[in-house]
Amino acid sequence: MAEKDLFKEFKEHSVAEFFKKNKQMLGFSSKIRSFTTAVHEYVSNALDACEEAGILPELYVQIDKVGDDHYVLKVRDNGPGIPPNIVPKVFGKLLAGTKFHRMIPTRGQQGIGAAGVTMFAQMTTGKPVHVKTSRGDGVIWEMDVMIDVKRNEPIVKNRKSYEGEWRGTEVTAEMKEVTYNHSKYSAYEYIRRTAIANPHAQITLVEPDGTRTVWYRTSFEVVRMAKEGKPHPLGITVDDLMTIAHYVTKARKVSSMLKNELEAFGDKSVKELEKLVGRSLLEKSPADLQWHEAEKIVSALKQLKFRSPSTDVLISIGEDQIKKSLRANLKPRYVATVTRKPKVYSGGIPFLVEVGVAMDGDIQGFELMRYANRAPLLFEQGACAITQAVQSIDWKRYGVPSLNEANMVIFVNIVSTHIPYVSAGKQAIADVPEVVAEIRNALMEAGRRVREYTSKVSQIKELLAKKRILDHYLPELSAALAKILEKKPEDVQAVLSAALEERYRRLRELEAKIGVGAEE
Amino acid sequence: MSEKDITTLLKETDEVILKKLREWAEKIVNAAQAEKKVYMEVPVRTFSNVFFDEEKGIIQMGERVAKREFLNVGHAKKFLQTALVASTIKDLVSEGITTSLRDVYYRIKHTIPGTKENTVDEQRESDKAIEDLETMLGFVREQMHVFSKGGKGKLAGPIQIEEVVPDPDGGPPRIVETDGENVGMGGWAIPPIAEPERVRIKKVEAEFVLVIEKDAVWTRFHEDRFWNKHNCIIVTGSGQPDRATRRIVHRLHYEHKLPVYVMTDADPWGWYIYSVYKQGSINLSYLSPTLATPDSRFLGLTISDYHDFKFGKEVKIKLTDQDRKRLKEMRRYPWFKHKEWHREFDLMEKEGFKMELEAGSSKYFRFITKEYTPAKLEAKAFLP
Repeated sequence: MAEKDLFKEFKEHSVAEFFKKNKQMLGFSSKIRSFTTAVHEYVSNALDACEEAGILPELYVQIDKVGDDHYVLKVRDNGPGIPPNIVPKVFGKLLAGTKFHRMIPTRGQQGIGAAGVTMFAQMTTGKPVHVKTSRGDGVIWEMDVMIDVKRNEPIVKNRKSYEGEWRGTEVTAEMKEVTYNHSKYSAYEYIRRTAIANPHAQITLVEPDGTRTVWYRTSFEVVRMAKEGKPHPLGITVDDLMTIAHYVTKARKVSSMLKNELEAFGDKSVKELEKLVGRSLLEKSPADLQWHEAEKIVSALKQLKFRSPSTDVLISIGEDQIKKSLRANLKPRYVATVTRKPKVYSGGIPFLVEVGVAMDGDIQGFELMRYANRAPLLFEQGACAITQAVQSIDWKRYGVPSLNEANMVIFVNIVSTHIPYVSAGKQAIADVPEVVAEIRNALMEAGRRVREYTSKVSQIKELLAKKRILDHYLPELSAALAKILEKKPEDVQAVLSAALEERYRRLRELEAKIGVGAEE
Repeated sequence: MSEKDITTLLKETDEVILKKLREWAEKIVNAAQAEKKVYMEVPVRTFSNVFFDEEKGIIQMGERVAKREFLNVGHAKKFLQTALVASTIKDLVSEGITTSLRDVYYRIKHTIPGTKENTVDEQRESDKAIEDLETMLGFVREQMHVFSKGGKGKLAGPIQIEEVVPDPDGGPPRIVETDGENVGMGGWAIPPIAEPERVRIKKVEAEFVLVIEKDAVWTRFHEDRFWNKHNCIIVTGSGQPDRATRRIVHRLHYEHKLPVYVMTDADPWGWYIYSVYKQGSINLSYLSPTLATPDSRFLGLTISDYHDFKFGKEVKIKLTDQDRKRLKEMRRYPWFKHKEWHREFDLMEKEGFKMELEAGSSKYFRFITKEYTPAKLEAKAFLP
């Protein structure tokens, strides 16, 4: 379904119908994916909330199985808590997320938000989600939240408060038509990858069989919160513009809406835009803006000149942190990481690419880990520009004869205020030339370091393989030197052979050391 | 030159070589014991470690040494080959035998037990091992009883020579004396090893040395007793000279202070041969100090001679592309960077021909010994 229709329907039909018809696009498609989406919504909200408050995140995820395709998901964080009057909006009103009109790279940019999970839970079990939260002020709030599907308004039940020393938010949702396992599209994999890309977070997972896994933090730095910015005119999509016009802006005209809601858009821009789209369109009320009109504006914006957005808003993980995290989580033998400098695409949208390549050690087989602003991308791997860039690299040049046969993990994180997704599903990066080129640059830079590692390993392996031959040379060499020295060949051989064995011992030690911290 | 008996000199040289060999082998074994590394240090012979010593006027080897490690994948075989050749030299020296590079190759070539590999596959490999030993021990292979082909060089003139001839049964070597004025049409054949411990220049009454590129032209000079009339020693290397011939020319210049004049065809190849007598070649740069004679001067032929001596145009031979290419290369040699030489290069390139020493016979057979050479000597018309 096209994005255009999505919006039309959202206006014309009830929330429930909208949700049902667009489940696929909202991430609630297959049983496995639906559960992953639910985990994504809660986990990314929790991480974002902690970071905004400058708190080192500590997450607890518990998954209980209550029947066939029937699970209870609980996610708890140590974040700032949610004011009790806001709780209903966050969990009980679709598309009411606060992130829509801000231009900072947060994880939650993808997906429909926590209310989507409420909707899904409600639809499959008829039950509300249960929220417990406290801002650490000595009062703990608990309530059940549902959605009034006709009005798209929250329904709150069983609201209560009591005294207690705790801070954070805990949300519990019961869902049917979901599955949990360890496959590559699973919630487990989502959490594992989230932990790897968020080394400052500690995540505890308790699985249905009681297995408890803790991903400890390898970084104690609170992730820097970026300055908030408005969307940049060059990066805005028709979808964004429609959302702003219909749900966000308070402006009465399209022209003032653009000035208020977009970065670097002033009176001069209004005049220039007027020449391209005509005065009447800009005089319209945003509430009446049609999809085709929004399209016209977005394509006209691309022809105008704007001040470039600041790159301060890009939050990278950083080479050291990626390295530490990959080491801790994958126990590889070698890791190379690269965080590139910010670049722009489409003439002005800032982005940056960071990659990690981990090899050997405990790693078995090949795995590509894709991220957008640290949030794992599990689906649509084949359609993703990251996959395309990885496959376009001639890895043989870096001493990796075949990716499929390599024991290797490639980690790629794209950071941007506007990740160029292929579709509304937001699981694959679009084939934008500047972005693909930059991913390739990052991979090749890492590849050059990988080559140092692979060549060292193969060099030493070759030396060790040569031992057999040297063992045959040794008596010949000893006899020749013994003749010159007028000594017994066996005496000379004893000395040479001792030296050789010592060298082999050292070589074997050296071989074992390669990669394991040796390059740092 | 030392007045020591030549056989004593040979014995002493042999002893020093055996001692050096022993020290070389000891160094390897001691390092293996102390450092747990099996290596030797070989002076680098590549172009990057070679320079033209302006002051001495010869090509010299730089100071760089390369560590050759037995455990290095790329070095192990060479390491073994060098040791095998070293032990062969030990045999040759202690048994008083001289032999050729080819013989050394066969001597060390065998299949390594337990493998299908030969110690050496080509003579090039054993030759390289000998060159490495020459640079490591500081002796030329001739001193270590190994020669290449030899026998190309000969000389005649007022000179008395003593040669050591090894005894086949291991007894003391014989000494054979030669009077350079009392030799047949073949002259005195320069032996493959012309080191002072084997060839002693006992007495020289000549005033200069005349080196003639081609042996046929040398025969003309010998038959005409040119050496007698002009009181000189005539030498030929029969084309590209072997090491022994160059060694003898070098020794006549340095031990007996004789000026050296060289005659070659007026063609790029001939002039290159002059450069070999004078400077030595790049791949044997480490031998330059004992083989080269940088003070030697070029007597002829040149293209200027064609005009000065009014040769007929029938002696002209057209330059080939190969000749022109070589000419271009020689312009870059530091020892040819004299304006006199560049004038000759220009002339040859411009006129597009070369000519041979035998061209004189177009006038009359003895033109070269009766007219051309005496005139050049008289005028001291030499190129640097």
